[in-house]
Amino acid sequence: MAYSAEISRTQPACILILVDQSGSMDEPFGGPGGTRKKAEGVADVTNRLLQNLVVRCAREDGIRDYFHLGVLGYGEHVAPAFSGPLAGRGLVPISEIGHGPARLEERMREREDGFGGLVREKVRFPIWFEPKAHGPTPMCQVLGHATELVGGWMRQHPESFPPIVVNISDGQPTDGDPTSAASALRSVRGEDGAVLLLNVHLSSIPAQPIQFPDAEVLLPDAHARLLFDLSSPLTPGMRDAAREEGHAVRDGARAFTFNADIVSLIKFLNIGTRPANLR
Amino acid sequence: MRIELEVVSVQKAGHAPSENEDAWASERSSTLEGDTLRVAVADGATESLFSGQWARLLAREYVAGKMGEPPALLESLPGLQRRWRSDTETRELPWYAQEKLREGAFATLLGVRCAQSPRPGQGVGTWTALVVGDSCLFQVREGRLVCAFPLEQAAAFGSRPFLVSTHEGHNSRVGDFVRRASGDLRPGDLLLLMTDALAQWFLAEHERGGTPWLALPAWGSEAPHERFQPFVDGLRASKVIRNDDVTLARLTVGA
Repeated sequence: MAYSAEISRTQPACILILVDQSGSMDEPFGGPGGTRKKAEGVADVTNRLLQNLVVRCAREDGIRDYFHLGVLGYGEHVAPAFSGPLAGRGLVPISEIGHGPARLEERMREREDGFGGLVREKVRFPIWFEPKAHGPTPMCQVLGHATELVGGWMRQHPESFPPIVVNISDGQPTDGDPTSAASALRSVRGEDGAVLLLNVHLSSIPAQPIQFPDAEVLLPDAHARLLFDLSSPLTPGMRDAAREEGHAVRDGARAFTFNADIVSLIKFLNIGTRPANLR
Repeated sequence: MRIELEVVSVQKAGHAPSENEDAWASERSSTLEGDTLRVAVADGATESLFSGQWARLLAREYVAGKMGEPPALLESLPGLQRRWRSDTETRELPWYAQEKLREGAFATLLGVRCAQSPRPGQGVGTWTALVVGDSCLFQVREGRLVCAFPLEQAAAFGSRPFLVSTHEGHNSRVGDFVRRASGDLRPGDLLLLMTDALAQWFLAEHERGGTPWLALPAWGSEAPHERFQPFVDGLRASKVIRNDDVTLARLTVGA
């Protein structure tokens, strides 16, 4: 059965994040009334995803390399997008990512206390990736670059869980129709299945978030429909994870979110017993 | 009552023995004679920090006789949680470990208490088991599996069991998830305590018509690892068992 390979230090999984850094990311998230720029939203999603994965791999002896992870930016350039000590690096073992944030910010966070209430606490929030908005949106080019990168990785790890590519964008490519480039990326395969392409659409439209739709007719514009079409169907493991998070997910649902987070979807990657009473 | 006890635990393939997050405890090892005997196994969740330490605290507390009944388990938890926190939260930890520590640690607990019958008749004694999570107890009598607790089918094992946490907030429903069972003991009975991966294999083998208790190697006075490790390696190589920490406690009831 596909997408069932064990994820371990000897057989890690690969996650590659593609981040739109084009000029249009300077626009407010959720329309003119929005107070945050899309570039800031993208940086937050990316940093939260990295943090979430590092913490999942943390053990008392350090960080176990269950994942190899990279971030490619696309805007003025198509290039690795880490800031700080990892600048210029492609796919990096997760332990190096955990030890190499550019900086640690202090933030206040609300957390469920398990009794139905919330507690506020001070946390150190690591930053690997800074907001950037300049230039065109070469999505075809970045998908091609991703195909090379994960293709090379898949050849070195043929038995591993197939690479997961997360594309975070406002969905307006400037270098042509990305359909065939995305198809080529999704056709990279190993013994446990083909590459999974997840799309996170951050829109200027002040519409309600949509997560894991199964039909494009629900989507508000052509950009969203394009990214939906590029997205892989959810695997059974992703469907279970999404349902556990409370999403009503039907068969045929795609790995696509509109104005919403995708962190919950990554929880399906099984790196050992995850207690039911840990959300 | 006389019971032979054998316990062995092996870590996941590709891991060091120090990374084994399973724990077990008993009052004594090898041959046990007396009125009561307690044995516990606990399985620390891979996705939590210092969960092996939490599993050891739970197993030892059970064996010390302080958590035999569900209400006593609930009463013991705050003290155990304080001990776990005092062991872990004073350490200098990097940002990711601090973040992980906020989630708390999680573990299963399976405790079994054997007691001698006051009036020996057909049985020599009774057993009482208490469990949270998916570690399992099996009772084999005269070549038949007569009890599987708390899970009875291989398909019932999921990847998200409810576990005992070091975090009070995660434990609010633990009382709903404590299960208890009991039975009698006769000479020749086998009680097998297992963590989930081995238990799932055991039930699957039994569902196929096999007698998995006969497949488990005996080691008696020999070094248990030398007999058990190749057995587990074989199951892993033939992909009939998940790559997880494995703990087995085998109690053979004598006269």
